[in-house]
Amino acid sequence: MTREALRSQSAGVKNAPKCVAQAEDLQTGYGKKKVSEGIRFSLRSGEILAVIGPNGSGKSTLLKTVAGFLPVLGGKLFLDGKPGERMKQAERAKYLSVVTTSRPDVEWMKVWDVAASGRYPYTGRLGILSEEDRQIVGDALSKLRLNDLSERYFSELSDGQKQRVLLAKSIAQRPKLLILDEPTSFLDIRYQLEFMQIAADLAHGEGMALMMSVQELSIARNLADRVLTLKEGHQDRIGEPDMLTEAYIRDLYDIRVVFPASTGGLEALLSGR
Amino acid sequence: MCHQSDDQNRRKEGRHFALVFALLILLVLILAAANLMTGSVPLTLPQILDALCGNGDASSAAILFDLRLPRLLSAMILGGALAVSGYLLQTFFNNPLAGPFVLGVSSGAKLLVAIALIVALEHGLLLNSWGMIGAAFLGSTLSMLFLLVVSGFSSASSVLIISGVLIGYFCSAVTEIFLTFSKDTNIVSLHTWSQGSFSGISWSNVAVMSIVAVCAGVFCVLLAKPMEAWQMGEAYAMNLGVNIRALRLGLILLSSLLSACVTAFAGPVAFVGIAVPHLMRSLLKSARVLLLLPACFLGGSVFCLFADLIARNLFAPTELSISVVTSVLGAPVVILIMLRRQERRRDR
Repeated sequence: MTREALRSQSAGVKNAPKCVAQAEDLQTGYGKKKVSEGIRFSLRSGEILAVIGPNGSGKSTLLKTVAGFLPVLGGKLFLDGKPGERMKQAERAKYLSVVTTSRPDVEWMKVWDVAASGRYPYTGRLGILSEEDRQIVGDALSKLRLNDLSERYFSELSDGQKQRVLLAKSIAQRPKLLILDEPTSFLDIRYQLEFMQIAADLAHGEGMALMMSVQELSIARNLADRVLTLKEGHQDRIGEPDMLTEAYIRDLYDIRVVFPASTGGLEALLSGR
Repeated sequence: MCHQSDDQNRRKEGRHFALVFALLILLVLILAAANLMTGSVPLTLPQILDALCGNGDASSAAILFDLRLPRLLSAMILGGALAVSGYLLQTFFNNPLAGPFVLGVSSGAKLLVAIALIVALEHGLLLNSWGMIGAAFLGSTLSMLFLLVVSGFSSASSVLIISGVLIGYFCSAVTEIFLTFSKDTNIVSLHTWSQGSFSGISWSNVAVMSIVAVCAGVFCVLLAKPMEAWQMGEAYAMNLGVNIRALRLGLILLSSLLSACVTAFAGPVAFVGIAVPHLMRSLLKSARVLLLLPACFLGGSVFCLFADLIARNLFAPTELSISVVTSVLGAPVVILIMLRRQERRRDR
């Protein structure tokens, strides 16, 4: 092999999207109680992975395990090519950011302060923000069009607004992996569409890897690069969004409702036609 | 353009913070002067200044240096320590009604100090300041451990508060039993102490409490950053890289130490720990820990200086116990705050 060929090959490896998170036969759960097993996926930077499945199938537990809130019960989880549990907490705080379904209950904390908390892993011992930190927080807020709210108190916001502030906080954290637990649940249709645009921009524009659980199948279909389905305590499938056919969704969610032909069936309901 | 408005907001906010701190410092100075001037022998400001410079007459110097100054300083330091302890507990439990008195942490400290005093006196020994603090710290930590066990079983904030109140009653009752059956002749002073009072504090006591307060203060400032993240909830704090275990341990030890320090010297003092952090948050309109820590300290000083002024002078020469005054002042504040919170929640 020529030197040129070798060089181009190694350059190719360097330019190939890095594996941000990878699971091999992963088992998740609380304490000793197993919730799901057999989870396999690999998530590269710039990719969006949607996790779907019926209620109670372990979507949140999987996300919490990847985030390091819950220990790996079995199998392997790799972050940045290394075993997840070996990543130090301070390093993890810069590597991945999470928006959970719980909302902070804080009095007298301004929207700006909540977003600024995303800079925590980067500030000094006293947590004082530098000019650069302020710039990053400001940019994150404008990305979510929250500038007008920045002086409002977080506790006074609607749930959808809180959700967007927390997303801004996560963006200010500048992670390689963004983990979102049901990010669209409390958003109205306008903000759902806006969220999809922002998520696509973060992944395909800025090269972040996104892993999110969603209830809305339309979002999984239109936004995700890959979809992972969970059912009855194990991973059912992983693949491109077009695997979500009507027959498969009926099977995954155990839907027995029969639609009259005139309504266009389940497919029409899902696609909104 | 948007950056400019950000700057403007910051400046506006900064002015507001500066105003609040200036007000607190002014109140401390005014109340300190009032406390030094009033008493069974009134002193004028020039007399006090002369005595402080070493030019005054012997009797006013004696009153000032032996009685009023140590009492003034202890009210300031212990009041501040109590308020900071309450603030740490409220942060730890994420419960606005938490405080060392309500949660029984003060009463636990009181019980162990009473036992230690009685045991020492029966053996003809005198307990020094450090011994008192040690006993109080053990007591407050034991109460805290019990609370932690309870909060492990139930995360409901009402369960936590009720358990705390019950621990308080239990410890107070046991303390009473010990006091009733102790043979000591010093029982009268022990009794005033167990009701809460800033009287009879010596300069060596003041020195010890200053050392404890300064050390605790340094650690509080070091915990300010993780506390800030902790306010957002455990999951977010963890994701931001907070060492949860170290933070929780630090908060428990510091709040126990601070309320132990107060109880060892002044007995249990009610409501300062709950009321002051609330007042400071509403005054500053901010949740920033690095601002609230010093504000709570100053606010606690103001609150206790004012309470002590009333305790000494309202029914002079009879002195009220400090807890009587702080309860009368603090309990309505707590009720008001609770109602206002409820109202705000309903408005949403």
